[in-house]
This record gives sequence, structure tokens and C-alpha cells, in this order.
Amino acid sequence: MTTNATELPVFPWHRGCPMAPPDQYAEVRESDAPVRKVPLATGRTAWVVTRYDLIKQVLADPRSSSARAHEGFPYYIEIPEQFKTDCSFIGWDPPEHTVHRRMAALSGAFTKKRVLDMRPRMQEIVDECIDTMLELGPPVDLVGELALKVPLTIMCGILGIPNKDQAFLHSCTEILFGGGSSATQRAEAIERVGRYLEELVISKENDPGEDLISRMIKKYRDQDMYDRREMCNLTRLLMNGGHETSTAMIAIGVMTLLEHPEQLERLKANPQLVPGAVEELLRYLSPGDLATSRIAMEDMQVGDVLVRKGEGLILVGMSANRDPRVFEDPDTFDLERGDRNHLAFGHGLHHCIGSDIARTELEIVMTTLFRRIPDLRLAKHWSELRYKDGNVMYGVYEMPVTW
Amino acid sequence: MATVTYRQPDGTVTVLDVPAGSTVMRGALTNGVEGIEGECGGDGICATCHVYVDHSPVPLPEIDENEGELLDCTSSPRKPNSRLSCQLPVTEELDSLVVTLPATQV
Repeated sequence: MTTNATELPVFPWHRGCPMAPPDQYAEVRESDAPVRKVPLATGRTAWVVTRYDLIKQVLADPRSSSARAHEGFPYYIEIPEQFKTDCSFIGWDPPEHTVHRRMAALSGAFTKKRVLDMRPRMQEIVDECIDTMLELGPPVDLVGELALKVPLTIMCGILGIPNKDQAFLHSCTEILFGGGSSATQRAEAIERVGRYLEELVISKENDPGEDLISRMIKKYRDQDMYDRREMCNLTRLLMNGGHETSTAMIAIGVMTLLEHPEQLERLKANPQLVPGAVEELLRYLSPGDLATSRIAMEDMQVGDVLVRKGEGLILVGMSANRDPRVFEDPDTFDLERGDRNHLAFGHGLHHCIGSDIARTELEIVMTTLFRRIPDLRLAKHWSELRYKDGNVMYGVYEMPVTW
Repeated sequence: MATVTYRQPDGTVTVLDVPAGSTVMRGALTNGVEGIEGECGGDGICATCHVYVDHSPVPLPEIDENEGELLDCTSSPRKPNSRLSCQLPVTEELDSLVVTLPATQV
């Protein structure tokens, strides 16, 4: 095996099956060069890191920066300028990252306690979506009626975004993260969302409510740190992060369970298995797989490779989550595996701020859906569906189900 | 360097020399002490590095608002001596610190 970049197709690599990683992940990970310089679709090159231990090491290393505005950041698709400059704390390093992330964390939505308080409302939202599915009758698009609606309604509720605006916001997010859109389309979508969010934030400044945006504005003002543009960016970050990934997890998670009928029967018979099943689904599917990139701020050794200052690193979480050094028989889905050491939410200081919300959403959906519609099945085989592949978030556009 | 004792709920004890500048969490993670998850890597966000402080030779840093809220929702019950070990920097003065790990972190 050599480290010649021309051997591999340009990055991002594509999943054949939505429930399996691109073939290149295992090929690179199990070679003698698991940290590999590869050509990106943008014409740049970057180091792709494939092993669990090395990915975790880079994510915990303060020399690896999240600075999206850095000229060497390893973008693998063309992205609008605003994505680099107006990204809020996901694209920053300490100390700014820490200060602003804590402001969001402490404004009351993300800690285990707050999520526990939200649980009854989340259950209501899931039940309402399933009520609608039952009223409509089969076949129903599970993405539109459940996988998207649940996290979007929850996130809009947290942020204080009126329900009537959900469809508009989602259409923009789909352009931004869905894949298949051009850089121009993405720039237009960012602008439309930008205008909307600015109006929303101004309305919360003038007439605060019991929502996260209003509480964050107050917190920033109390500390004399308020900046409207930054509040819009932060709102956008939480909005985007809060639904597209969960949508993918719900839809492809349901698909995975339906594809493993014996395990699904065990789950239905014993709902106590659900939290463990959620962890296994997160490990197995890793929809935010392409969301962790870094740039080396100094020379740093990663495995056998010396990554030079200014070079980009792409940390493919799904490869880590299928690393046989960490997970026995990693390509087997086993809802009783009992291991939540996966990197589906990342690791280190950018670990997903909404991970408890996401876990709770998934638990409630998987418990309630199969209890209320025990005969649920796919109306089309997974190979006939269209997927969001090769962008920041993996996902499926539509998934008709019947019962 | 400070000697830190980690006690498991079953009584097993690990004694480590942790370098000054590290944290009680990092000392455990880098030496394979079971029972501390540290999901967020020490940024005070996830509450999976909860410990009970049995003995400290010097007063520990105050619990701030962030740590306080996280301690309110740990997996094992909060006690008066509960702390997040990522918020406990190791100093030479901390020598002989003793912590007990809770039964669960998640």
C-alpha cells in the first residue's frame, strides 16, 4: 500500500447503502496508511483520518483548530463566504468558543435536567405526528410526517420560532445541507434565512418571550456583550444543528430497525432496550459523519504522519465508529451491544451541545412509533429511495412507509 | 505532581501521580481509570466526569453556575461533596486528594 493520493476517488466518498459507510473508509483504515492525503472535490487536498484512536486524539488536541474562516480549512464542497465568517461558535476556538458556547448552554435548553423537563412536551409532539400519520392512512412519507416534523417542532419551540415558519426554514436548510444544490443556491438560501432571523431576533429584542433566543439576548445584554449579528448566527447554528441530523437519525434509524426484524421484535417486547438501541443506531449510522474537519495550527504528529501547520484534517466519524479495534464485529448492528463510546456526536470541546435533546427525541420516537404502529414497514425498498449523500449531513429525502 | 486516589464504588483503589496543570478528570482518562467518561473532553458541558471528593488538602475552586447546573442533573445523585472532575485543576498543593467515583455517569 502506498500513500499516493491518485489511488482514491476525490473526497467526499459515497455510501452505497445508507446503513453502511463508503467502502474507502475500511480500505484506508485497515491499510498501513490510515491517515491519508486525499484530493478533495474543491481541488484542495487534506488528510483524511480514519482510525478511532487517531480521530479522538485530534479532536482533543488544542493544536487542531475549528477556525472555519482560516484560508486552509479543508472544505470539500464549495461553500458561501457567510458559512465561514458567520458560523458562530462551531467554527471558533477557545477562548471565544468557550465563552459563547457556555452562554448558549446556560440559557436553558441543553443540560440533562432541562431536557428532562422538556420530555413531556416532546412526547406530545411525537404523538401528534403519529396521530396525523394514522389519520392520513398508508402509505405515508415518514420523513415529512415524523422524522422532520418532530425535531423541527421541538427546536422551533425551544428557540421561540412560530410553527407557521417551519416549512420555510426547512426548505432553506435542505438547500444548505441536503447535497445536490449549487453554491449560488446555497448563498441565496443563507441570505433568505439571514433576513428572516434578523427580523426574528429584533422581535425578541423588543418583545422577549419564554424562549431560548430571548433568554440568550438577556444574558448577553446583562454582560454587555450583545451583538445582533452574532445572535442571528448563533440562532442559525442551533436551528441547523437541531433538526437535519435528527431527521436523518429518525428516518434511517427506523429503516435500520425494519431491516433487522428479529431485533425489532425484541425491542417491541422490551422497551427498556430502547436507550441502548439508540446508542447503537448512532454508532451504526453516524449521519454527521462529515461534519468534523480541523486545521493544524502547528505541526502535529497523527499516527505515522507529520501533519504540517496549515494543513487540513477531515475526521470521518463513521469510520471511527466501525473501527474493529474498538467495536467487536463493528459492521453488525446489535442493539444490545451496550457501548456508547461512539463518536456520532463528536468528541472534545465541540461535542454536540444538543446530544441529550437528540437522544431523548430518538428514544421517544422509537418507543412510541413501534408501540402505536407495530406493523410498520417500508413501502419501497431502501435501494429505491433518494439520499442526501456527500454533503455535511447524510440523510434521505422521502421514505414512504405502510402498515 | 500530586498524588490522587480514585476509589471505585466496589472499593477498588487506584493511586496516580498526576502532573500539575492537568485535571482530576484527565488524570483518570489518560491512565485508564474506569468510571469517568469525560464525553465533552473537559469543557464542563456533559456532566460525565462526576466524582465525590472525600478528602482535599486545600479548599477546591468554587462551584460556578455552569458546574452547579450540571451537577444538578448527574446520573448518580448529587451530594454535598459532588464535583465535576474536569473543573478540578491539579496543583502541587492538591497532593493527597481522594475522590470516589459514582456508580454511573450516563
